[in-house]
Amino acid sequence: MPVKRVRRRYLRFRISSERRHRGEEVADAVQKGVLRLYGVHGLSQIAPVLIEFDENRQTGILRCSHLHLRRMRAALAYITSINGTAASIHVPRISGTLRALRSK
Amino acid sequence: MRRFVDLHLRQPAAVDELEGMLRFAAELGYSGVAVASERKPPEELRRLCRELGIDLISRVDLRPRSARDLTASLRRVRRRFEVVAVDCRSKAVARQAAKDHRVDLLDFPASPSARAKVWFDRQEASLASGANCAHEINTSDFLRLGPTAGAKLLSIIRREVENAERHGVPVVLSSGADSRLLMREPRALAALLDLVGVGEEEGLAMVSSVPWRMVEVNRGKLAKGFIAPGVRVVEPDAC
Repeated sequence: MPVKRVRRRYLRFRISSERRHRGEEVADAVQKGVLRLYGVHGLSQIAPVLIEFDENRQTGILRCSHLHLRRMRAALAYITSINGTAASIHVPRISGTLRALRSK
Repeated sequence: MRRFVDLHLRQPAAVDELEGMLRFAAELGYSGVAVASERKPPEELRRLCRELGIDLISRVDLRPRSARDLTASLRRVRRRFEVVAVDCRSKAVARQAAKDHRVDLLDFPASPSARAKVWFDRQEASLASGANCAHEINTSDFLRLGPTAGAKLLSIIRREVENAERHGVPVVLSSGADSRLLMREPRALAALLDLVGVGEEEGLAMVSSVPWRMVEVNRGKLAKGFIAPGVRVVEPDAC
């Protein structure tokens, strides 16, 4: 039986905050952000995964389902704190492949 | 290509932070921003915006106590600012603002308990559709709130958007930010409207074409030679 390949979107993001954050804190904030807005069902559909995070530059790449990209963006925009510190997450670029995102 | 505009930046507590917010707005991809102020934007801010390649729009937020206070304020500010918004704190002010052609934007309280009393209801939407004023949604209003209060406010905003749609009232989406941390890129602002049932294209229009159209019409009215909508002096020497 043919299986349809899962399509994904990769989001480059940047954190604005009063202090630097670790990758685990960011991954936790993203998961909680999605959970807060869309619940367990939404989290399972959006399926956010932190691919990489540069702690010095406070930038990273997230992966999510291409069908729920808008919800992913909304969840990221809704985040106002990371681990108790005021913060915001901005997405300057989105791509369908990791290679394209890393090349620019 | 879309030109995005954030029609509502609030004055930050620290004066020097405004410059950082304008630089950040340019970085986020905005072509235009409006900073709410009682005075017209100073020349140094205009110069900075020119350097950054963003259009600085003059905006005033009126907070009248009564309908009479509102009409007096409008008489004073309408010819000085490109965008006039009214913070509707009472039903009487909200009704008068929705009826008045000189008002561009209607703002409602951010607190869910106050908004439950004064909000963009059906009567308000009906009046606003006749006067061509728009309803403004500030994302900072619900970003500042906790989950319970945030959910209440989102529920009211959802009904407001439905009322606006039903009566053909334009909706403008702004950040309402008074710090960099409350500013979001235009597509993120539009994505937040997913929470109140607004589609992607519609959401993007609320942060681009809808506010630009309003600004362009108002600039036309404030330009030299304007007589009435559709009537302007083209060649003054020919008369």
